[in-house]
Amino acid sequence: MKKLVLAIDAISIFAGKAASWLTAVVILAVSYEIAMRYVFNRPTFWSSEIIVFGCGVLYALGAAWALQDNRHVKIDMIYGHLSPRKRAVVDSITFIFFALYMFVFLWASGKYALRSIELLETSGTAWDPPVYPIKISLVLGVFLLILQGVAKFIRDLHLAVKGVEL
Amino acid sequence: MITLLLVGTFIILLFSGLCLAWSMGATAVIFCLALFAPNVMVMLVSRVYSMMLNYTLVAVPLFIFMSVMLQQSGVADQLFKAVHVWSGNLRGGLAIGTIISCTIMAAMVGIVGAEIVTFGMVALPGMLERKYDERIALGSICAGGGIATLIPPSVVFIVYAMTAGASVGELFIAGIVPGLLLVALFVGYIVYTAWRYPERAPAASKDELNVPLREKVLLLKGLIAPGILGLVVLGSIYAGVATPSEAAGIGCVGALVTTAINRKLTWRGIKDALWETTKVTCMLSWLFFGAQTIIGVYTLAGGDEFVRNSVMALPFGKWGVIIGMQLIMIFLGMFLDWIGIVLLTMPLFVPIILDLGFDNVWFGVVFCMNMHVSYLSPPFGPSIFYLKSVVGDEFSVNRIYRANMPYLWLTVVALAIIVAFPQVSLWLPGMMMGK
Repeated sequence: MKKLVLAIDAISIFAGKAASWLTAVVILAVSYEIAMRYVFNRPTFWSSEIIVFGCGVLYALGAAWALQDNRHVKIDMIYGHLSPRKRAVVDSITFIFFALYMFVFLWASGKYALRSIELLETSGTAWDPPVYPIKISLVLGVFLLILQGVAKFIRDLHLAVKGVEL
Repeated sequence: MITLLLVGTFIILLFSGLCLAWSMGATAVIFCLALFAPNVMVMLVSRVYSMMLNYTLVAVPLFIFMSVMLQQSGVADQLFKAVHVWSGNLRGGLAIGTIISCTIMAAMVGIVGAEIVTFGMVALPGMLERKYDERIALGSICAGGGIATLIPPSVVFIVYAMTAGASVGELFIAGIVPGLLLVALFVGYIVYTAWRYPERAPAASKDELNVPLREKVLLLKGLIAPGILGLVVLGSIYAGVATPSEAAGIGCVGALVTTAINRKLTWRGIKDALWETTKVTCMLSWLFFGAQTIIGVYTLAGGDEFVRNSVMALPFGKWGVIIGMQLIMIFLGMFLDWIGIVLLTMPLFVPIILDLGFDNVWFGVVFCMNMHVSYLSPPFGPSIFYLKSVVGDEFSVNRIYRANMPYLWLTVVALAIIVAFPQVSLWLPGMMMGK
């Protein structure tokens, strides 16, 4: 069990770090565009889409890492006063709602992406890149979130039942 | 009825410690499945998708990267030293220096947390060493750091502009005068306290004052890099040379260059900044996604009509509506972060205030000022927790709260001024953009 949980952590961290480089790509794209526009007077027709797509994929793929690192904000007015074990009990219960959201979202985003793949949908701009990869990345991101959520659930359940951390 | 059930479900989930992002999404899914066909969820996903590809949102990760990078650059350190030495034998000089350095930093950094953490490390030890009263010392950092919400480039403005459909550039300009008004109030308070109760802000010692002029001038170097960076980022937005998102990208390059000039640029540092950017950005973006779904469901269920009717039913005409909205936001600010408040209330509030003939840029400034209040106020004051994370066990949360109180009231005064006199925020953008 512990191995499984650690493996999921590793996947989330890997995906998050890989996605992080998109920020660097976006910064480069912006700099290139500015330089081309003002120094060479030849604005690109693809940079704004690269920027937007890069960030879009970043949001999707990095979320599981943020969950693994416990970064998503919550309100701890009541929750914060509980003992770690009680918190784990509450978390194991609220996991149901997380799972509900994520599984429905996985289904809906999957359907949304599938439609786009069937059409081989493109953005319809001058550059006209395909947009289905971004929709697929959203599905993948949700899938990674579910994996990380399950790992967290296993940890919480272990702490809740056995009273010690996994 | 739906409103009650929806808000109830959301609040129960939220208070049981489920993350804000998932609480919003789960509530949306439950009500979507209960009220509509499952296929409506696919429509909600398309709303999320359009958020993913939102051009303005790009500015958020970029400004975060810029802030994280600048934190490594040591700019804040130099800045504070320069302001400190030049403030000389002025009573309360260190605290005033903190506020002013915070303001200058705010012109480069758009995130309150980054500011407070930085100055908590740079400025606090010096003030405590000189036996400043903790109310002045702690309060000036929390209050000064909060100015980052009003002085452009502010991430709060970007997010507000996105939800309210206002222009980011105009909001940025509109924030300047109210931001400086706050600075003036804070500095005035410190000057008054230092004059009335000299023991709370001891003057600098003779040694510290005897800095040769040559050295003083050299210290000014610390102001050059921040000055140029702030000018380039803001200037390019105002001049219409670059979009705010592009300006943020330029700022990132500028932050990297500044760090390199200070010989602090390392491969490790860049990677850390990228990692940190990803985590903060993804936390924020999934809040956006969650808000898209819950607001989508609520609007489909006719909730926006309900909010409009109930807000309109408030007494005292349109000013009653504005004041009612402020109270709702202050109340929400007690337990929600600003971003949750923008995302949940603005899609419902902004159409109403536009109908009433108010300006959405002005409302954005009012909102920011309101969030400045919520940052400082208990029980959920983010700036207190940021500062707490730096000072460790030395000061309890309660002492930081108490230190913030005078600044909190001053901010409420500023809020009242901005609400009562819209010209304070609208004059500068009107002049610069010829509106």
